[in-house]
Amino acid sequence: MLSKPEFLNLISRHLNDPSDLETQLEVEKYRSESPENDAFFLEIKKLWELSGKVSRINEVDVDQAVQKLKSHLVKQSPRKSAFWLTRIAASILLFSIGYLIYHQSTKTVFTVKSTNENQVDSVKLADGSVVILAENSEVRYPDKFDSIREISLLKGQAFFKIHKDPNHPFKVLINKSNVVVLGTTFNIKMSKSKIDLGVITGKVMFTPYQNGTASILTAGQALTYDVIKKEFLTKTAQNSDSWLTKELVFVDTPLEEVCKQLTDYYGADIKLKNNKHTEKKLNATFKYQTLDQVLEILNETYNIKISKENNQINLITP
Amino acid sequence: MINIKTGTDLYVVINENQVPAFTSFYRQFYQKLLLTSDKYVEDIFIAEEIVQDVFLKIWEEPEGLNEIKLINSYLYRSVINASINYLNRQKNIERHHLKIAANYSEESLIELDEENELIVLINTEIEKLPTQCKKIFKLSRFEHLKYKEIANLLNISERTVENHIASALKTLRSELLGKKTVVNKLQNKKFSIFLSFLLMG
Repeated sequence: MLSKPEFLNLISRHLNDPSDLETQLEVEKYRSESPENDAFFLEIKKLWELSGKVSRINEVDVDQAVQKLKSHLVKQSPRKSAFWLTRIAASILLFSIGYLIYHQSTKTVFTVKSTNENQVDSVKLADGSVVILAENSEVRYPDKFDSIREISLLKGQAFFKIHKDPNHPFKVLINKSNVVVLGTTFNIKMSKSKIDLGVITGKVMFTPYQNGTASILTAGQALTYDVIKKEFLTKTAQNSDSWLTKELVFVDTPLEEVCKQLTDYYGADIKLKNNKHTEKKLNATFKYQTLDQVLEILNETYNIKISKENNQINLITP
Repeated sequence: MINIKTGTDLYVVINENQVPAFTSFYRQFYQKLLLTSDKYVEDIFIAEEIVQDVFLKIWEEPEGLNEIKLINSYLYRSVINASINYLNRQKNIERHHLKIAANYSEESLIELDEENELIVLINTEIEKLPTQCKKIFKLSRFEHLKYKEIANLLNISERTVENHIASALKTLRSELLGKKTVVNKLQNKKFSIFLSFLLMG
């Protein structure tokens, strides 16, 4: 018969490698010799299993956790305090809530929503319209609309999905310019010097400045307005919402325009070299692709050479 | 230390603003509840947040406590619910977790508490082991290394590793058995029944 320490070593060997048949048989034999042996084995086995679970809490700092909780505990106000006091408090509260509701129902409250780098956020307006903000953008909107629905794009880029309501035109103010719509989806990108407007569905009216000539854009059309020169040029709305859809679509697009759109989308400076072949056009759809993947595809299909100098990427046609 | 058993016990502590009693009650349950939350959220840092939030919520709104008969089970239930809510928010809830939560009877929660109590005790006792012995035991039980791997890692014989593990198990067992309340818990239930059968016979 094995003495206890030897038996303990045997059990520990068995637990370390339960697949070792020889050790297992030895353990079984010892266990069957007496109920005490068996109990001892079961205790050690349980200890073995439980100590495996210890690892999860082994590095937890309980003292620190208690300190942290303590710092969060606010002093209890006595609960059994006189009832009249709570009643007065309740009526004051009711009164203030009433006032607040009254106040809010008469006064329009404006909210400014802004996004940081790499952050996209959306705003649902009182009429059910949705504004999706691209990164580094800012929009100001009221909590309710009067006869005219009006919001301001203060900075950056946004995609608008406007709820259709022919009786209440929807107006987006962009500094001195504005866009009026009835119910459509469109994208606006603004910077200090220009405004890009792309219409995805429906019809919108763009007014560059007060009393300026308005231009009407329909689905698929886009324009770029030069704020300084007060000029605009129309083009196709191709890819104006690509920041949202993560999809770049090119249909018979001149390579020069492709470079511009890639520059816009990826924020890298991409230039076309060798102007002899600018008549070359691109037909392609890129979805969720990195710039390097896109460049690789251009390289393979159009035999365009890619060279990178400093922060500029040059596409060189053959 | 005040013995807090029922919801009313805890309510009195909170209502009388007894911060030390409340924090020591927290300390008493902290690791045990962490183990339970961690089973769901599988992230000990998130588990820490969840357990703390459960206690803060109780502190801030203790009114419901008077209805609670067994505070232990109530705490486990609250932590389990908060953990499931967290997972729901994370949208990666596994269905079996929900089922387990629904099936937690008062008795099974008491059993769970006993097991967690043991794990917490073992944790304390492991930290008291001699340095080398502790190191080897942790490598085996926490890192799941085989004796051979530990022997190679520390450049010692496999037999030495085995001796250290056996010595750790021996110390842990006697330390735990020394704590009176634990004796029955460590012993397998089936065996206890078997033993009482023998004694009767």
